[in-house]
Amino acid sequence: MRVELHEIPGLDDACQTVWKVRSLAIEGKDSVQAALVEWQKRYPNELKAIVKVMKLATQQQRVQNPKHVKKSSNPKHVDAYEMIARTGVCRLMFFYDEQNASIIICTNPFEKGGDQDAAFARCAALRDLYFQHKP
Amino acid sequence: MIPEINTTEDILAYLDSIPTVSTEDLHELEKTIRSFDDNPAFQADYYKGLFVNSVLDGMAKHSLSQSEVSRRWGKTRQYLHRILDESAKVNFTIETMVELAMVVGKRFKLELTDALPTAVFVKMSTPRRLAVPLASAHSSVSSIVGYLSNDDQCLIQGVLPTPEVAASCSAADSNVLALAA
Repeated sequence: MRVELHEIPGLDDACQTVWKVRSLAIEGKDSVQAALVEWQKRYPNELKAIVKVMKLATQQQRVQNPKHVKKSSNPKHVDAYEMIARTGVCRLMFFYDEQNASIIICTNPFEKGGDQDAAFARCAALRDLYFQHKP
Repeated sequence: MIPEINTTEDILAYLDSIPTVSTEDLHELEKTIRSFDDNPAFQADYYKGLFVNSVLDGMAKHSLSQSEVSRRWGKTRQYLHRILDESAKVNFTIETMVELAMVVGKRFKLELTDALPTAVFVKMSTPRRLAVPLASAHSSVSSIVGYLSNDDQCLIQGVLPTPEVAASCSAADSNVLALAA
């Protein structure tokens, strides 16, 4: 299975001092890029809020503010997190890859009102897939 | 309900559900995200977030509750809560930030940096036109130098403050090429 990491369009690496943020693409399909494009049209203010959290996450060892980043409370999801657009519905699930580099990998989008636990489970499954197939 | 991903079939089904993104859409997204950096409201909100996160980090390191911080600071818990909530109704003054940073065992640091260059000018062996990708032009002077060094023997002479200055330089010297970022 072909697994790649994509840069987030418009976010320069030079500003990402602690972590680099990337989106996960499998077989060329990138659900995070697709969601960001969709949110830009449907929820422009929430895209702004999510980008703010991405930037915060790249400059901190860990984001402490639970209004911006939350870790899954389900122990089965081991280290799956979500970035939150405050007062909105948009969320991005992610995990930290500390094995070879310091990378935050966004795996899948989620919109509030859906099944959050399943979205975290998907993030955890995609993380396992990434570690099995990463170059 | 989000279907679980447990098998190869689940993964393939999930991949099928992801819409294809066009290059134009990605280009538009890149432009939008870059524009946030030129938006003062976005920048202010971002730096409030960065400040609050550092305060929360200090509180966690020193095991300080909100009650304890507000007591040591001599402010009400409600006021502290509004700051930690990044409320638009609270003024994040320099005094407030310096004091709060000290209470949680940190020091406040303020730094202004130069804006990204609006143009660089390059002296080349022969006069010619050269297109620099937008992403490179936005990144940094060093990335532009890197890009050009793959393509031509050129000498970077400096960074110009405005496109107007760049234009006047390139008009005066045919070997000088102004690259607007």
